[in-house]
Amino acid sequence: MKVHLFIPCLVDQFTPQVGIACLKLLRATGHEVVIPTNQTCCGQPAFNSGFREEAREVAYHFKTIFHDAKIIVGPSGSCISMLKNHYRELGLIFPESVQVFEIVDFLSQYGQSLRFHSSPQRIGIHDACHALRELKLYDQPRELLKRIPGLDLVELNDGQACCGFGGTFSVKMAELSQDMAREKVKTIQAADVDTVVSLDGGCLMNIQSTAEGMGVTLHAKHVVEVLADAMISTGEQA
Amino acid sequence: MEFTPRSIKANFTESLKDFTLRKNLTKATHHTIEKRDALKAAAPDWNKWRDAAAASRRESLLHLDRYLAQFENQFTALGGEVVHATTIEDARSKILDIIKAENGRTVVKAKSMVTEELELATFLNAQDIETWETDLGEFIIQLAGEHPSHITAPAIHKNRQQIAQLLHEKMGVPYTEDPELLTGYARQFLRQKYLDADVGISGGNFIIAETGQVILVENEANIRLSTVLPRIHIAVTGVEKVVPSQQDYANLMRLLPASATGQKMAGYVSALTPGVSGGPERMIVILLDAGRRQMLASEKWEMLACIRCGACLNVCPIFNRGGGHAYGSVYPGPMGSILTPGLSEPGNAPDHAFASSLCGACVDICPVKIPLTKLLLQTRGDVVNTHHKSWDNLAERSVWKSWSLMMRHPGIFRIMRWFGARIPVRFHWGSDARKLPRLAKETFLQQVRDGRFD
Repeated sequence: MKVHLFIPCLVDQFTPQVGIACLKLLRATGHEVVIPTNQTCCGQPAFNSGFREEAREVAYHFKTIFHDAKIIVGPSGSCISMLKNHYRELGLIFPESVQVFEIVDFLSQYGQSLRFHSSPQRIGIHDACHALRELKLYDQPRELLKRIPGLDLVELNDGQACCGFGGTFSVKMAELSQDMAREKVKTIQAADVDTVVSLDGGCLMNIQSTAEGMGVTLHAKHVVEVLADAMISTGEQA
Repeated sequence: MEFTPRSIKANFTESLKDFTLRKNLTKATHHTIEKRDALKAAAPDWNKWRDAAAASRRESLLHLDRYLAQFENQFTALGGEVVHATTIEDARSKILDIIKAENGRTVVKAKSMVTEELELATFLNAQDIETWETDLGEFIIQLAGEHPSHITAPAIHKNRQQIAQLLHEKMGVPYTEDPELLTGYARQFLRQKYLDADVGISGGNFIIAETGQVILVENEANIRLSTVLPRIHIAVTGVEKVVPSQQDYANLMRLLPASATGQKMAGYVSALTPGVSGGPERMIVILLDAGRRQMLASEKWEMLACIRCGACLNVCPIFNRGGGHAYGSVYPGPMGSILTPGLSEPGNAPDHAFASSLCGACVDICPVKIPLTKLLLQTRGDVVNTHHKSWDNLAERSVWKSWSLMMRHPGIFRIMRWFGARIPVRFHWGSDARKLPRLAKETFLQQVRDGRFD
């Protein structure tokens, strides 16, 4: 299948390795990957701040850039939910022939051919709010990660509690946001893991930055980073 | 209630320092949520009930006038009286007129959020009509001279020690932390008031169009006493509380006590029916609009499906950190952040909708499936558009305008990034130690353009 890769702005700017992991995994599953290099942002930041006109302008740019895509895949629950659930609130509707997936959702449906080598490590999982509640991705990341031999996936206490990012909420209500983020880092520490995975660039950036500020050693990764690291590449398989 | 615009942030900052508040609050809300979750887990038909409740509430709202007229016909046919009030002031003066016409001197009040909108007890006391809150939590709040901090648990922010001290100081009773004894003191005091009262005032959880009954749900029997003992009863309720039939009401009752207090069934449920012997001589229902029809005509109409269970407050990480008082409005939490600006003049309570990380835990728990995050987002849009002339708003709009320009022109974006990546300092992100991460040396898309993955 021909897949258009959507790299959300935060991922592109701060964690390009997540994009590389997506590309690697998609290619390994035998899909043709198209990466429109003039993509920028889906419009979510302005939309969530109430600036709908500006959000619509940027969302329209996104739709133009991806006009010939039939399958759009990207790493980040909230950005994918923006396309799937909120574009219509801006009056922008994808044709029914266009399918949009968070990459973990896509891989759980079309990634059966992926093979993983053993990777003994303890990893905590934080359910990103929009991936969990707006895209209903709960089992998908767990099932994929459990295919990695030796990987010990640890559920966090109150793992579905928000990390406090919330886009511009983290700036407008900074102290509240910070308090929520600290609590999240504490539950990760309490789970005795030094890597936590999630499905949203925003949450990951928030958790990583907060942990650094608290002096806690922590690696916040997108699920695809762990998958790509443990993947047996086609060369190795042969 | 008075709003201080732009004050929410400061209120939350205060609340975050109050560890007693946080402890009192989270202990109570977590306990309620656990009990609610257990009931849901034990009810295989929960989602069916929820779908039916959601549909029934919307049916009421879509045919509001028809069901209200049906209710009024039924209620008056039974001998009750219906009074329409368009605004808060209108409702207050109509209630006062009824009490004065009956030479009423003492009022016993049941817990009701609509009467909180009217600040009714304070208003009546100021008119020399002795008015007592009879719900234990509300009674505590009245003694403390505060406002409720939660729609179903008004004194949730107080712990046992604080309540013991309050009753000791205000009522002169011996200091005790024994809940039975404390309740006993309040009961003893209020018993006489029920007997003295000429007028009882309650709210209404539901009003049933089919039968012309007012439903009241409670756990302390204080509503029973307030509705039966005084000569006159006035039930004050919002127009949106009408449900079509007993069937609809029965289904909603499967969800309301469970969602509100984690109870399978509430302690007492009363169906006020005018003309029943032994009841009050006059039974009057005040149907309050106060912004509801304005909201019904807006994109945020689904908010009126709310049955005031308070589950969205209990589950909200923001509410649990701020407490109800931080919102400075009658209705706090996610539902309050939509209702407060929605029911008032455009431009009022501009910060409410922004006190949310949009996590959606409220959407998942809402027993009538109100899309709270969607409505919060719409409210944010409203705020931005009504405040388009304020300096804050103009400044922020210019930021988003520039952002939009940059995002629609990838070339400009790349140039800006080139500069951004060369800023040597790391900005603090929001507050204290959380710093914005460094920009990556090369973006993913740059690497793609460079042919790194061909």
